[in-house]
This record gives sequence, C-alpha cells and structure tokens, in this order.
Amino acid sequence: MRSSSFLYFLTLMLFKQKSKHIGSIVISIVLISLISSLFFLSSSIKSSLKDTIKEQPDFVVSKSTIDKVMDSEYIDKIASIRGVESINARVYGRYYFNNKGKSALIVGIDPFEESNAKYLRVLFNDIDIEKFLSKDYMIVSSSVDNYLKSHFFKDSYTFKLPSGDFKRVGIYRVLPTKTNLIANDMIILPIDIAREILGIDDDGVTSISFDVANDAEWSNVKSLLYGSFIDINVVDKKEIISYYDEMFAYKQGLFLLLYIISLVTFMMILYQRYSSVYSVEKRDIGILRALGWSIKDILRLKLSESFIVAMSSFIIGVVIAYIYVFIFDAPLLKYIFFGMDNLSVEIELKPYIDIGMLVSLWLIYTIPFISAIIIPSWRVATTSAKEAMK
Amino acid sequence: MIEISQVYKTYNMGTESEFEALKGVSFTVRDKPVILKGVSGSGKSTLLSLIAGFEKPTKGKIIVDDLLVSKLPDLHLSNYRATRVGFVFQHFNLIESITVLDNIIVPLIPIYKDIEYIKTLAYRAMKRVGIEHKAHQDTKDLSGGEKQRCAIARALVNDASLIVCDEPTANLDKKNRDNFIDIIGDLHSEGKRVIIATHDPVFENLDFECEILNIKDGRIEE
Amino acid sequence: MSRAFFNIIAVLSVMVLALIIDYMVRINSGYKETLSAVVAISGVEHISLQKAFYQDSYNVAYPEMVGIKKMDFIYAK
Repeated sequence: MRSSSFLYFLTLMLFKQKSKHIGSIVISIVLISLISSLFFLSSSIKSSLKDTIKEQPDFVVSKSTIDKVMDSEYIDKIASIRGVESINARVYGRYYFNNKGKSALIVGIDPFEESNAKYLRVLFNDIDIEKFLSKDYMIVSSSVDNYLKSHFFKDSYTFKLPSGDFKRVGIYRVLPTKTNLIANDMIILPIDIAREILGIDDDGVTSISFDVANDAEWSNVKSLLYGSFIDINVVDKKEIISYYDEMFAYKQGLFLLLYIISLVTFMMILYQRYSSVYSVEKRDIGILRALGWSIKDILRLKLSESFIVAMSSFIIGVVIAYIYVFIFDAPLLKYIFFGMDNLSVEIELKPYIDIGMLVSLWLIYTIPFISAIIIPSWRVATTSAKEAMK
Repeated sequence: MIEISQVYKTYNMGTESEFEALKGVSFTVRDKPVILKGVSGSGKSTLLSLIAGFEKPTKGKIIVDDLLVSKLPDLHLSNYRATRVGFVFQHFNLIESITVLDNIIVPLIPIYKDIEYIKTLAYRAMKRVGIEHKAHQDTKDLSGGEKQRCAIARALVNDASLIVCDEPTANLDKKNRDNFIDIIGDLHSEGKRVIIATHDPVFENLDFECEILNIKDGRIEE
Repeated sequence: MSRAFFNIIAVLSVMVLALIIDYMVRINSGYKETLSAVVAISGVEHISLQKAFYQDSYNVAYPEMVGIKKMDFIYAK
C-alpha cells in the first residue's frame, strides 16, 4: 500500500515524541471535559424546562402572605374574569419527615380534572384513576420512594397530621426518573388527602392556575387580579420564560469562576507549548531546515501535529463529558446544580448538545493552541538553520 | 564546478558585537576533494554553511554547477539542500528520539511521496556505510562511530553530487576515522565533489589526490 | 507508522459516531412528553432543588447574614 511519506513522518513525530504532547493532551482533555460537562448539564436543564413551556399554564396565582391558603372566593373571582379558561386549583406544601430534616413537596391535585387524568395516563399507561381514588394512595418520585424504603416503608407511608393523628397512604406508582428534574422530591396526592396532611381547610388551595388565550389581555387580567386582591402574587408564563433564559447567567456565579480557572490553566498550557518550541524543538527544526525542508514544509508539519493534538484532545474531552453527564447522570457535579441537603438527586438528564457552544469552545481552544506552536515554529524556521541547531 | 568568489560573511552587522567571519574568500572546486584546514574560529564552518546553503553571504557569489546559490530564494535554497547537498555535521545533528532509518529518510520526505521507495533508498545508503543492522535502533543508543555512519548515510541518501563534511573525524577513534576516509575515497571515485573542513592532520596524507586550502582569520592563505 | 495515524482517526471517528447514535436514540425516548406531563399535572415549573428547606433562606444564628445553604452561586441573577 502506497503510503504518504509526510503522513509517515507526522505520525512518527507524534508518537516518538509523545512525552512532549502527553502533558498538554491530558490537561486539555480534563479542561475541555470539565467545561463541556458544565455546559451539557446547564443546557440540558434549560432545554428540558423550555420543552415544558407549552404544558405550563399561562398564569399561576398564589398567596403572598404567610398563610399561603386561598379559599373559593379567589377561584370564583378568577373564573369571573372574561377570557379565563382551564382553571386548575392545587394544594402545595412541604412535608418534613423529621424535624429540621428531609422533606418532600406535597402536591394535591384533582385527578378527575380532565387534563390531570390525561397526563397521568401519559406517565403511566395502565393507570386506573378510580383505583387511585378508591383508597388512600399517592404517586411518589423515585427519590422519595428510595428514602421511604431506606426507612423501611416499602408500600406505604404513615404521615403525621397537624391534628396529631396519623394517616397511612399507599404508594400507587413511582414517577419515572425522567421527571425528576422537576419532581425529584414530589408526592402527588388527591387534593383532599393533601389538605389533611398539610392541615388546610376543605376548600383551601395554595395555587390557582389558568389560561388566557388572548395574549393582549394578559396585562388586563393581571391588573384586575391585583385590583381585586392585595395579598396575591401572579406569575405569568412570560416571566417564567425569561427566568429560564437568565438561568446560568454566564458572567456570574459558577460560570465566571470556571472561566477564570480555565483561562489561567489554558494560559499555562499555551506558555508550556510556546516555550517548548524554543527550547526542545528548536534544534529539530534547525536540522530539518538544514536537510532541505522549506519553511512551508516545517509549518505544514507543525500545523498538522498541533491540529491532531488539539482535535484529539477536544473530541476525547467532549465524549468524556457526554458520557459523564448523559450516561452516568453527572455524579458529584449534579449536586452543584441541584443541591444535596435534602433527598438524593436521581435525575435522568435529557441529552442536549448546543452545537454553537461546542463550536465556540473548539475555536477558543484550538486557535490559540495551534498559534502557540505555529508562531514560534515559524520564527525558528525563518532563522538560519545553523543558529537553530546550536 | 563550484565557484566561490569574493565571499564575505559578517555577523551581527551594525551592532557592538559585529564580527567578520569571512573576508573575501575565493576558490574553485573542480574534480579533486577539497580539504579546508584551519584552527577553530578560522571560518571553515562558516564557509561550509554558505556553500551548503544554510546561510547567505553578506557579499560575494557562490555558484554550484551554474546555480547562483548565494542569491536563491528560500524555497529554491531548501530544494538545493535537499537534492544537491549531503552534509555531515561535526556533532552529527541526528534527531535523537527516532531510529537510524527514520533519521536517514528525513531529507527525502519533502522530495518523494512514497515512503516505501524512500525506505529503499535509505537501506541502500545504510548498506553503503555498513549500518543496516542498526536500522531500527534509536540513535541515542548508538556509539560515536555508529552515529557518524548514520550521519554519512543521511548525507548520501539523496545521491547528492556535493558532499560537505564539517570536522567529520573529530569524535572518532582510529578505526572509524579510517573507515570514513575509505568512504570519501569511494565517493570521489564515483565523481562526487567533496569538501571537508578539518584540523585533523591525517587528511594531509591521503591515498587519493586532493586540494588542501588553509584558512586563517577568514581568509584563504596562498 | 502511518497505520497508527489511521488507527487514531478510526478510534476518534468511532467515538464521535457512538456519541451521535446514542444522542439520536436518547432524544427520542420520551423526555419531553414525560416531563411535560408532570409539569401539567403538578403545575410546578421550577427545578427540584435539594437544598435545606428547613433553614429557609437565612442563617438561624445570624439572621442578617446571607443564608449559607442557598443556590444563588449557581442560579445567579
């Protein structure tokens, strides 16, 4: 098989001088996989949340005062506003398994509400709504289920009620881990049982959601609601979308720290490669020049060498990041994003690769890396071969 | 024919450390090998590097077989070095991290695309100097004599018509020195031009005829 | 030696191809539908953070100080 002599020599220099390359390859892989992991994780979270926008209600009303409970007067008032549709009342609250200990988010829903029943069937093909309501049953997340199992509650849990009584509720289903981004510590119950557990009156609710088909009416609806009640907080979908967009503000917090560390480390790699050309490689370049290699040949060799090193490091770093985030669900790193003080984080992340981000990362990494080798190589190649070989 | 005509070479021109290494050197190389004799610092190595095309003279002309080497642009000068010159350096200047074979093929990489053909030429050169059994050994593990033979094989691999050697016997024992002189004799009988810079007295009593030029303080002594 | 070069290219290509195939398989495995369903049922639209809820957002010993178990460093505004 006819093989290119240049390719032969290029591979020779890469492998025979691997000690020169191995340091910068390893550090580059670590750096790229770290940055890519963080980007994968954050963009997966953002993308997953944005996927759910369509299913979110246009408005959510909650109480801004300490008691958090709204009665039927609020529901009636909202229902009376023109253009309001699909009103859905829920009960939320946090149930603490022990004092100053782990907790779960109790969500009380009306399972007979048409949309709730429909989505329950999306989650569980074989769900029997009547059976779910026939006894005291709940649907829990996998993290809650694991927590309960670790405390010897296998098929049910006995809640301590505010009244001092106890209530045993069976586990009907466990939510898929794909839902844990939002439902990691969630317990879904029929609204009446939720009220009992949270000590809320029979017609009390903690959130009322509804839709308004006409976007132009949104500000009117908001004004009407604030005009009618002084103790409510109204959040609309547009605010949620802008919250998602601002999430992981790249110039602040964790990302700023990451940039600074990465930049410093990267500068060190560049400096090491740059000075290596002048110290270690200078003689070799001088020898090649003396033996008849032109400046163009030298630059072709160095460009190919540095490009292969850069591309290999980049690809390996990104693949490692992908495996770490999307196949192993980012152990350790997920605790930075989700916290670790409450229940275990068992989130199954949706794969999402922001191509623009990867291309930017590639450019930011590869161009300076190659330049740090090409520029000194060119300078050495353009000096006299005799000088370079000294 | 190689014609060196009024060649000057000044380093660090215009600075405090300005130094004139060659001061109007002129001579012609025809058929006989040329031995440049002189002490260290006399300008022998500088002259050789100008002839080989590593540097350009500050003034003067160097013509090798009708090619005005002293005025060639870089690309043509590189090609000249690759195809017309075989250089044996004083300290061999081998790439230590690669094998003997890989060192020898280096001059041919820019010229030929087919690596198998290049290797064939390299083996031919290695056989000539008796080093083919060391083809796959790293050069850093070779003895001085073996390194020198590797350097000579590298200089011969491109079948250049001009062989230039800078202090070739400086690091050799008697046996290897004699081997080297035999090789030079063979090259001469093949019609190759040979220029050797040395202060080794053994070159004053060679079996074959050669021209001895004494160089002192950058000038050829008459 | 050239074979080593092609081996590197082959390994890298296989890695990239495997990543792409895995990605294509996973994105079609119902993430959007499942998550959207739980959002629609529960009405919760924010990430389930596992912070110390009992502490709320202030340091019990020193109420004026910024809470020690907040997630602001990550979700900075």
